[in-house]
Amino acid sequence: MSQSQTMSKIAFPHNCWWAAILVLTVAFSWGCVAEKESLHEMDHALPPHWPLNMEDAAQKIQQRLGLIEIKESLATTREELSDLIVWAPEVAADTDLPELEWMPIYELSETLRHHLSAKDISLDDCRDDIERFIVLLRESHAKLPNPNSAKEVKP
Amino acid sequence: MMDVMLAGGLMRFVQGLASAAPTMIVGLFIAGLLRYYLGTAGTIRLFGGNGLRSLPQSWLIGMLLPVCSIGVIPILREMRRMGIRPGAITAFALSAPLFNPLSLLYGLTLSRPYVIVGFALASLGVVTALGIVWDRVTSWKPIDTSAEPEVIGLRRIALTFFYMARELCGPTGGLTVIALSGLFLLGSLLPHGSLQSSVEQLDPFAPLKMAVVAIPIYAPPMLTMSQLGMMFAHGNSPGAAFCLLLLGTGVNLGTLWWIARSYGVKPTLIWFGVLFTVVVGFAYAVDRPLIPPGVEPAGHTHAFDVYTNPLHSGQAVTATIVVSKLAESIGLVERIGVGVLLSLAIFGCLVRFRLHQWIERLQAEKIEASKATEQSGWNRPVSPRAVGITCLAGLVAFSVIACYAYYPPPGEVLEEMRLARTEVLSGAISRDYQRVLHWIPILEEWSRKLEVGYALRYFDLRPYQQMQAHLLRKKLELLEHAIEHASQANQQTKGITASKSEIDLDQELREIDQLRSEISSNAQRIARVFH
Repeated sequence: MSQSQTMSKIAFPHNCWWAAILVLTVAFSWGCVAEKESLHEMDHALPPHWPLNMEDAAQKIQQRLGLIEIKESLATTREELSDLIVWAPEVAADTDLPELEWMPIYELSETLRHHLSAKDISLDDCRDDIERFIVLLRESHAKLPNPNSAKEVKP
Repeated sequence: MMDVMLAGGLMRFVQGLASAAPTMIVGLFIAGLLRYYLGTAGTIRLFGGNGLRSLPQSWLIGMLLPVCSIGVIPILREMRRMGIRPGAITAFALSAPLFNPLSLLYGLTLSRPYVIVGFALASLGVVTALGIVWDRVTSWKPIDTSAEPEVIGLRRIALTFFYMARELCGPTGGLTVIALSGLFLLGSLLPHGSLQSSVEQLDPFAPLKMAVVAIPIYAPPMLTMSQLGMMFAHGNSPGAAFCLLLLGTGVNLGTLWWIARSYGVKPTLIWFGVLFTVVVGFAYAVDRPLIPPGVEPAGHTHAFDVYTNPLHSGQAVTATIVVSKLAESIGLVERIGVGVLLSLAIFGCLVRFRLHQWIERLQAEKIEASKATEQSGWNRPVSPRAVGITCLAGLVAFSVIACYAYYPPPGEVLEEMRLARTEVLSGAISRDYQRVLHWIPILEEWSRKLEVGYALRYFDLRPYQQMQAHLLRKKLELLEHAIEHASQANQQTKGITASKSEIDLDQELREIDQLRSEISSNAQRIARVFH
């Protein structure tokens, strides 16, 4: 293959290509032209129901469970209950709780998360497990060397 | 303004070239192997023959070879020259850049493993469906392979090298420039950080927006994996992540151009239309089910900052700023890659314009001449197929070894993490925030390598270990934000709103100290569970 033939392989196929690329780029950039002053200007908002420690998580879970029991709950209460159950292992892992004692919290959280998201069994049927989870969190919190040192949370 | 746009676009172009350099060299080498060692018949067999089996087989080979969407270009050209079925060519073109052993392992630490495995299997579905469509819209017939010239010995090694150089200083080089022009366009036109909130979890247009912006993107597999990680960590749209993977990593403007030149604009439009529809359709199907549980949407992501202009509008543009920013973002491996690529390109120009007649003569010499120098003992003639398969198997073996080298043993990683953490924490104590911001991504990167390195060696990664690594990355990100806020508040204390800013600064400094202490506690736990 001669040089000119080879180079013609990459020659401009059709003018519409450039037009298409430009249209796509301009169309996209039209929707997002606002320059960000900083790479970090949008902070990670900490949800208001994020627990400070395991005791706080247990208390918040119990509180929402109580609201659901007396039928005063909104859809958000159920969502918050699910959030708290999913977050609890992370909160527990951020302490000096040994791995062996952390594992039951994680496993129970995963089981509950699975049932709550799949909705394969009702919340009433999960109640015993959730109460066991609350007890587990409280017991684990009490075992910590300095259980009352709550983390400061940015408002 | 114009100088910021041009300089930003140019910087993105150079950064793209640097990221592509290592895998481009691999791609050129593989294309040379196919041409001079495996030959047409062997290559057709390697990619599954001319039947339907060629589609999944091409996908599998693509998954094993360490190339990106630019490195795949010389291989595609060679496959087409050999008359391989068009469906198999596009299946390989799309799948080879998506995953390689390194990026797949990295990907498994990013989210729940089933998400990445699901993405890989979905890509198989997409390339198979697309391959069937592509075979229908293109005219193709097998070629006669009997008249292939055959060379062996040192002559063959030399021809492979000359071929790589010629390709680079020819069609592959041209297509690379076209591929990287997408980054130039985006870097010029999209203002700094303008994609940070484009792909939010609950935004119904997120997958579509990502699909559109992914078309001109060139992204190497490891970059895409880290972007997917950031998207999952920030609770962004999983559908958008899938679009980025298939359309951003799988294709670029260079591959689209080559397909249009080789098969015609109309079939290419049909092919790309089907690809776009299938990918976006699948993205919408998985968008909600794949939302990671327990991840609070951050409302933004930094994953796509690399496609926007690296400079702020109004910023002074000098050669020093451009060079220092490039030097910060281009690592040692990429620098070596660019050096090798440039040397090869210069040699390629020489080959193309000065030595082409000599090479044609070298190529035309009969195999008998080579065979005349045959000797007994260990110096025996080996068939091109055996040599070619050995080279390809060697490449796969090299990928496996590279996995172990790239993800060192936990002991070594923990030592590197200790050094990086010391820099972060001492920088935070002395309020040297530039140092902290420099070391945070390095420490994050090591935390990922720690997980993969441990899993590679012990075939296990416990949830507690994953959780501790996750906690470290989360705290590092919070520290990054707190430092940015503290720097802003510090500047504002000199302005009109001084009193309010002093309160803000005090609060940020307290948060930095809190995070510093938490990162120290986390370090002890990480050292304990990964030893």
